[in-house]
Amino acid sequence: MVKHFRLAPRSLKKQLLLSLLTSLLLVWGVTAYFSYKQTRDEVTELFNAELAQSARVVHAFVENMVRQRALTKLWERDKAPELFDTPILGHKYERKIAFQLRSVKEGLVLRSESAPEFALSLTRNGYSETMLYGQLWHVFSLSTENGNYVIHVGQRDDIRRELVEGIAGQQVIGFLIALPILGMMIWWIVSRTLSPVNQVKEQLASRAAGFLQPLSVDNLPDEVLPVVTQINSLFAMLEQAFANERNFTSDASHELRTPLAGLLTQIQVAQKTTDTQMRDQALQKAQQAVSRMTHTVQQLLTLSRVQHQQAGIAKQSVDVNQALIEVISDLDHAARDKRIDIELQGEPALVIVANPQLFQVLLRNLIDNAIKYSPIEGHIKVACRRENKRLQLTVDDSGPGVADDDYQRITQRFYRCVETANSVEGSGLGLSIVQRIVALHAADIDFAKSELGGLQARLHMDLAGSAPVK
Amino acid sequence: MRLLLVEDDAILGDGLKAGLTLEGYAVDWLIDGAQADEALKLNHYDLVVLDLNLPRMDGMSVLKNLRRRKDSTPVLVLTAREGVAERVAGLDNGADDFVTKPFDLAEICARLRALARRHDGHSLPVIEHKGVTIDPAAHQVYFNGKPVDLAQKEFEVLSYLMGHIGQVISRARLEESLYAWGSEVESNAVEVHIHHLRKKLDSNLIRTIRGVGYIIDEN
Repeated sequence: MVKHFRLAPRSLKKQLLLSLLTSLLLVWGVTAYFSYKQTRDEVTELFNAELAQSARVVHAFVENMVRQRALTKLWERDKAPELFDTPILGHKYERKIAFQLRSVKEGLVLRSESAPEFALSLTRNGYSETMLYGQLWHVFSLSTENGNYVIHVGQRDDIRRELVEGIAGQQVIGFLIALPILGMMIWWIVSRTLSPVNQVKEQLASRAAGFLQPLSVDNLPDEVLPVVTQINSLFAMLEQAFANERNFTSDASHELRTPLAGLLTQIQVAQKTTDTQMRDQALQKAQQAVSRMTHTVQQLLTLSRVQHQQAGIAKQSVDVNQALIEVISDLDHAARDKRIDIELQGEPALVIVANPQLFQVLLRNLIDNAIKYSPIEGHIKVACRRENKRLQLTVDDSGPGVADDDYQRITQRFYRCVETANSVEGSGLGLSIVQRIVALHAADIDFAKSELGGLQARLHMDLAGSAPVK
Repeated sequence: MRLLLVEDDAILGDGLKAGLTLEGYAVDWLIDGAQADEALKLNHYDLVVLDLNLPRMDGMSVLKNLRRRKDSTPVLVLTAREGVAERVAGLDNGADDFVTKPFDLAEICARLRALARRHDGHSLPVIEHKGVTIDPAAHQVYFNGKPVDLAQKEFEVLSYLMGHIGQVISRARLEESLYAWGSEVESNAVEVHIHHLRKKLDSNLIRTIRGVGYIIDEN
């Protein structure tokens, strides 16, 4: 099997952390770079301004000396180092600035200790860069009014660079300290925000299989709440399904135990009595009990068979009239026993797509019910017709019907209405089977009071060709 | 003994009625809970056999109503479920015994005899009084150690009176205990049975209290 490489991890937390930390690093890097660059430029500008400033101070001083004509006489070469190089009272960056006063005619007049003897620049006024003994100098030059003297104030590039880098680097260090703190905060916030998800996960993981109690919804954020609510409603549905299954087993055992008790009791009565008529009666009842149990077991098997069928069962075209005629002729003897008249109102060419066996089981249960619940010499009407491009099949009987409250309940397993529970043999499973088969065919069925006085079952189903066949 | 059977299953109900009648009980059979509730209000029964799953009113409610009326008639409950919960609820609501379907008719009869004699205040299966010994399980009566042949109804009258020694039992009560609904009651049937019993056993055993009924004295 090919293992797919995943760029994003499955974990929400990891995904969040990864994306947040990556973007943090990216934004941080770009910001730090530009900030460093800008600081460097600003500091360079500042140094240039400082050079100009220093030059002007010296210029004012020299201009004054020139006016008093005291310059050449009073000052000898290299006589005024203390003017700019005052190591005790100065600043640590002070020595980095060099200064030259040059006479146009006589060359160097005065220089600071750090300044070379050779002219720092050939420019007379303004900024320039000079290469001297392999060193790059940034120089600001200013000449006196009479043009005899030029003042150069310069700074070595390597020193300036060192200072600039130092100052700009300070900023970057600040950023470097902030980075892990930010990262840790992001990690903490992400973990904290996602903790409800984790709680739900742990709640789910710690429960035993089959434990369907709803999950706690306390303190859940709006985003997680619907998920948990959905899970809870799923749990409730499962619980209901399990309960149904348990009830079914319990109901089934009830449905078999009672006739079994009846059978046993009748047999024992037959053994005990000395009266032949009573013995015959008891044995006859025992036989009835056996046939009723046989019917119940058959219905239980049918129900369990249809309950595990999926909607994808084999289906084919079924002629409704044909199917009705087959089922009614099968049930004819039962109807004739009770002298019940079955009327069939058909319409030609009604074809549906269905599983033929299951459709017959459905019809058989509906018509069999009608026969069981109809009185002797009762009347049953089975009708099928096309209505709005669908099949409408109705089975009406002249039996007692059911109470108004019971129309919803009659398809429940083992439900039998009070009025008929004792007088009629039945398993209470027939309509459950019908309902399941109806569901398998995407049809629908409802029950109402019949115009014949009893129950009307009404089935609606798509006709062949009127809907896409699934 | 008059017994009310409440069972909605036609075949089981019919079988129980037949079987219990063979045992000598006067059996009234009802199929719905509401009717049973009414019948228990209006009539005296010595025993009740009650199914739980009944139309119109479930057996448990019938039982609760009975006990709410401070009626202590012994009730044997029939159940088709095996769960313990239902038994516990049933016993707590005043059931005296439980039988799970399917059951043996002989077991039902034995349990009913046990219920009846515990209710009458003695737990020994055989009652002995003034030389008369009555064994309800074997349907046999001995007088001074010798077996006495009694007709079914005579046995019923004797065991009813032996079950209530020292109490005056009215003629109507004796008639009720002998005949279920719908059975023919001859007007002087009880007198005839008493007369036969006096002939077959000690003639002083059963004393008539005129206008009231009959009694077997304590000594």
